[in-house]
Amino acid sequence: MTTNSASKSTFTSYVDLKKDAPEAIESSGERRGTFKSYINWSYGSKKRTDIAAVSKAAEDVFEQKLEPKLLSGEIIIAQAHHVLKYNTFGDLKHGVSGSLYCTNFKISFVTAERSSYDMMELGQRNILVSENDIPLTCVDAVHQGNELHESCFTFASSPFIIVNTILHHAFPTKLPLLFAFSFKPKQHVEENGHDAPIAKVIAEPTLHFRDCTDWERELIRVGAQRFRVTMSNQDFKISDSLPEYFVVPSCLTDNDVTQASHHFVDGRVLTWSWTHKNGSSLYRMVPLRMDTTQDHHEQRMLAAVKESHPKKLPSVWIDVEKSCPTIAYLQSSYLKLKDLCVPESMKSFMNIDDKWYSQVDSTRWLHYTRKCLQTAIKTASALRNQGKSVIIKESEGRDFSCLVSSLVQIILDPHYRTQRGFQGLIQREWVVMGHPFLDRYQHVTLTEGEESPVFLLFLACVWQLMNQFPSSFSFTDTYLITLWDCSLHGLFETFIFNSERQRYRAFMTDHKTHAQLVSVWDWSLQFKEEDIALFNNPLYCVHHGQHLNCPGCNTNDVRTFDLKLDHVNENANEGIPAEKKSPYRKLSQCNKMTEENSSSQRKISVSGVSRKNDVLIPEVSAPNIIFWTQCYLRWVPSVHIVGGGPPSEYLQQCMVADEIHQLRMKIHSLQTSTPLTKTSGRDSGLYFSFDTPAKMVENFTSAFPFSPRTSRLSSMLGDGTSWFSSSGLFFRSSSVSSYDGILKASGSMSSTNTNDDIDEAGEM
Amino acid sequence: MEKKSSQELLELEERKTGKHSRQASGTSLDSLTSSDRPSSKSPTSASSGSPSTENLEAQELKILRDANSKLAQPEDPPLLNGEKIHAIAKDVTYLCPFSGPVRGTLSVTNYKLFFKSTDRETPFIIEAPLGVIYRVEKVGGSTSRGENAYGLELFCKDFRNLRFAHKQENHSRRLVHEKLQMYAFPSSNKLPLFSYEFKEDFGENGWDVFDPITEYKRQGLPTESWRISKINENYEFCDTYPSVLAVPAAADDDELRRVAAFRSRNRIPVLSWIHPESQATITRSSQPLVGVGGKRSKDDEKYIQHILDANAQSHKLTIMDARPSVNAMANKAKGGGYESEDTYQNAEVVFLDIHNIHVMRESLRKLKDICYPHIDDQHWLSNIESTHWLEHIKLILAGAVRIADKIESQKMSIVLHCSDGWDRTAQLSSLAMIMLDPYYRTIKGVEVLIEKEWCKFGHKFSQRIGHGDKNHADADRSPIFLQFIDALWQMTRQFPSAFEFNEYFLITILDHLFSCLFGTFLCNCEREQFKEDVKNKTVSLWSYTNSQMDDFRNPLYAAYLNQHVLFPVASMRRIELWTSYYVRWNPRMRPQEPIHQRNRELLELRAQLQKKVEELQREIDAREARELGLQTPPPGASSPTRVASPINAS
Repeated sequence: MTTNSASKSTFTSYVDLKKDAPEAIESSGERRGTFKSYINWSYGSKKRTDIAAVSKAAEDVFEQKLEPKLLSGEIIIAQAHHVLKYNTFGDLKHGVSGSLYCTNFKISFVTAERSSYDMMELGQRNILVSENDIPLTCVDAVHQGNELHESCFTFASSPFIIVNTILHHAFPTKLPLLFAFSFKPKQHVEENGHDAPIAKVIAEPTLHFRDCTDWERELIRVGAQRFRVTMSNQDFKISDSLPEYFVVPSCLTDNDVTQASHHFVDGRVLTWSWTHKNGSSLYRMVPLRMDTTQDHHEQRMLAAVKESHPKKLPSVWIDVEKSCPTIAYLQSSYLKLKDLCVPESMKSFMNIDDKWYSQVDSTRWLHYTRKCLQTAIKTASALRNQGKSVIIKESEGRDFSCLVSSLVQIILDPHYRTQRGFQGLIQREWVVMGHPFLDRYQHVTLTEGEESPVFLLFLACVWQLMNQFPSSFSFTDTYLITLWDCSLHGLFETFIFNSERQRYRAFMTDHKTHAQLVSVWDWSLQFKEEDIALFNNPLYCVHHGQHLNCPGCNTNDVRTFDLKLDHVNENANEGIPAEKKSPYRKLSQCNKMTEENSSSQRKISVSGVSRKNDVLIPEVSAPNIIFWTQCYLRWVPSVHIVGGGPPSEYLQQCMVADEIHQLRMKIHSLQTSTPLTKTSGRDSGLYFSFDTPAKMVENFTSAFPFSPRTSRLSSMLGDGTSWFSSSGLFFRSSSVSSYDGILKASGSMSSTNTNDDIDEAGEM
Repeated sequence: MEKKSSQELLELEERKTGKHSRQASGTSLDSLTSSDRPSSKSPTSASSGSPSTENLEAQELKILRDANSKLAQPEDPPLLNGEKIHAIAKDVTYLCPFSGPVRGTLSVTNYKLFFKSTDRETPFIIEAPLGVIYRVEKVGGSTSRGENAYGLELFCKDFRNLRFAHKQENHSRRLVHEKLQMYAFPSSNKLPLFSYEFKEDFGENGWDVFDPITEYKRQGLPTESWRISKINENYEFCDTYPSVLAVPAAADDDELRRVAAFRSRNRIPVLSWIHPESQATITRSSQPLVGVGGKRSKDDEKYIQHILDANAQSHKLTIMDARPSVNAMANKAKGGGYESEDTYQNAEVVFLDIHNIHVMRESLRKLKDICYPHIDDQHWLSNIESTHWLEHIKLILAGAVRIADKIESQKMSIVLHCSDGWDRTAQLSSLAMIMLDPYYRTIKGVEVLIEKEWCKFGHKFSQRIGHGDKNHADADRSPIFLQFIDALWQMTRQFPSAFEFNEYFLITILDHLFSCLFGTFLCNCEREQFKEDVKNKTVSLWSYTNSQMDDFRNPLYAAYLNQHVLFPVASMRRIELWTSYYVRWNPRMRPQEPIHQRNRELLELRAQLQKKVEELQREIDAREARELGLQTPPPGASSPTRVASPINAS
């Protein structure tokens, strides 16, 4: 730097002041030139910045201690300084300088360069995992070598210590070595007493299904009468993988259950999942053990199922092993998908572009998504249309049973399309029912051939539903993607155990170390309140009067208004007059489901409760199953749409929905003659409010809120060889790293330093 | 749903012609519709789907049945003003590829084909303007055996084929076939296209939408460096160019004539768009007549220099040749070619690799094969790839992005051409203009753009579409305009709040590209439009669209956020197949919960609430006024309190 900073930084730094004052800064430090850092700190300022201010700011930057932010319980194990981080999309000429730390939780890269988050007012910001962090559980492989193409870091000195540390800690061999056991979140203690604002929005906590009452509440909610909670698995007496409490038909005694359990694989007897209002129920069961001859136990279960049906109808089997992929096929599909979505370089990105469609086809990922949805539709139709009880059958009953059973419930029961209902569903059908998260994610290196992203496939299926029914879910795709990430972080008890028993054991043995395992559903641990608002779907909020802060929502008059709207809806869907006005009559002939929607919608507004009969049957022909670009390609800067993409639609929806909320408040205050309490923008529970300033949102990209900065403005050119970048209107600079590609990606930091763009403006 | 649109037409027809013959059956219909339809301008739909109601469950069927029983109407087609029935065939079977055979009555008018089922309580209707039919084939002969083996198959330009089975003993096929041959291909039979017979007043005159002088003025012309020339007033300078041209002020008319001699079909570089600040321009032309000998034209070189000089911001200029370089080279053999960087100093020549009309036609043919009627779920994406359709779309978008980037980021002027400069050039210039100028993202703006860059600049609609011509194998046909609309749709997908119009608007344009209902897309160039007097003899498509604006608005349009340049991502990862157009006849492709409908509802609800707030406010003000015993309310007290809305209310 020009002045006194030279002695403080060991590397030369070029401050780019944009074109206003190109000659203003000269590097005069110890010119080593080995490490280059481009700092574009004149971001957003169009005015000429005087040199003194530059020096001052530079000083501030360099005086900062380059240390990672540690969570409580987190310790630094190894560190390396003077590390250059490369952008996998760049030309490997310019890296970002900083220090690399390996802790017991993450690999953290700390740079003097300002965080791109500081530049952006928007974007989801994780309190626990920041932009330059890679949780060790997300590290797939570490490439080591002198070849720059292989590694994203170059080390000035002693790289081996840190590499070995990473290798050692990224692949722990025992469960207690996971950081989740060392993590001691401070906030958690206060969580219950502290009245966090979020608690107001999500009025009731998520059911965890770890005690009797949660199950009983669920039975009451669905109106299932011929069932009871059995205690036969207390202390995991009959099954290692079933929860301590679960539900069986009332006609089965605890003794029946215990007797029968000896003859089923892993003691997994018949378990109840859900009951339709027509009385048919959904169950899960595994086959009898190979070594048993007493198939009357199975007959006893089937008889109980029949007995519990109001019309005593026999049940239907759905064999998910026949209709869903195997875990091995799924894993191989996922690996292909990952390879496809995390291109190693710009060149490989370009090379496959014209083959993109067939490459996506060849991963089979969408094909498996269709298969699972098809199975769920088949099951849902047996329950609803034929009124028959269904038993989902799978040899271990812990993978696709979870997936299909959850999907069926989402399809048939609107409750599971609320955030709380959805979380309870995951808790009930996956977590306590023993989906082997630990084996499937291989957070702890244990066994070959067990790894498989069944849960991620489930999220992908839910997104397809959401895509086809955009106003039916209370949560957004941002929520799903966040959940996707969290499930891989290995930080939450929700996703690190194979079974309740294992969790219980881990908790007991670690009791002396005071492990505080945290649930992922405590979102306030990870995000600030305004970021949690990103989970709320504006379309749903408006239609379901979700503005709990809105006193006017419950008044009769507001309801009348909703009614009026519903009248319009109804006509648009099935009636005659509005149909004429609808421009889409030829494009979107409504099918049976929409009609059902609208009729049930009428019910909501009258009764104020959520829809009851609302069924979502997705279309699963290939053109209807869409590649989830928002999730899979969010770390690939070259496909970010600057100023566009689904987030811009979300923004507009939020703004109108928020305005509707404001109007309702206003009406309430006018009617009751109570003064309008001064409202802040976000009290509708939405991320954007109607008065969100335009300048705040004009720079965001299609990767919002995950990749907070605007990516380099680039587009693929026709000749397939060259790219160009430009510093056009939306150009914003700084660096960001996408920490793990499609999550458990190659562990390489694919960061883009947009300062490169300044150098390379024009065609490369 | 089908029924509804036909009812509208029926109603419209009755009102227009004053016919009361159908009143007995139509009374209830009238009473139902007139109260709920504010506008008498009914959308005269070009083509309507055949929503099969088969998949509806019994309960839903009942609802429909109840609704429809009140509205029973004869099997006659509803007629437009100027439309006449020429053939009616009873007892015909439509072989629906999605829901199986349907029995009914088939009518042919001078505008459309109309089929209505007789064997179902819920009418099943097919309506297709004859303009979409490119081929009529007889299926089976007098010896044909088996059910439904004898009949007609119609191949359509709008991604469907229709197959009808006739009973041999009814002898109905002959008449239908004859009339279809006659009226589907009027030009081949020396008959006028239906557009010349269609009479309708939409209350708007779409022919007034575009005026070249107004548009050039909007762009800030004339300037010091650019003048507006009337050299082509009588289309004698260049018969495929518009009468009003914007050219460099430094070039006089004589010079223009000398340049014209060196450009294919006299299509010299003329201005399409000028950047309001940097003055960088997009100029379009045809290829230079370089030939094998590598001819030069000092005048042309000088003229290009004028274009460069008109932009003070850049010392270089880019000549974008839309073709692959191989093709450009090959054109030399035919006397054409491209500019050499040696002779055109300060110019760089870039090839955009977009293929010719024949490649595009073939690609679209393949696309139709995989989209209609049946979709192979197992290989859907691979099949899309094998048509290369999206790859072509990508190249076009990428080319336009490159142009927009040169203009916006490097302040460089662009000279753009392909061979003749009326296909690929039109695609690229119009897409680049949409990226650069937010005006072209409004409904009126895009109408102006289409008029200007396509109709007036000589995109040969008549030839490319083959209006009324039975020669379906004509090598001049090509889906160039469809490709442009597809690329535009890709942009609306990438920037959902940047466009004032919605998808339905784009589909409507495409429907009427083929329908021959409106005069907008009938001719090959402005001279021909003038000669045929389409302005007076036909109705403009924009008359219809602008009278129904609300139907075509994007509820999420946020003009205030989207005033900047849009750079779509031209990667296959962001290019999608437009299934709601190409696969729209497949009942499984209809969105279950159309998002645009949800978005519209939001706006409707907001409008209702705003009204309620105003009402309440008025009530309160009035009450207060009474209570206070005031004679007159204080000024301004009655003004409604409204929450400011940044979003365009439709």
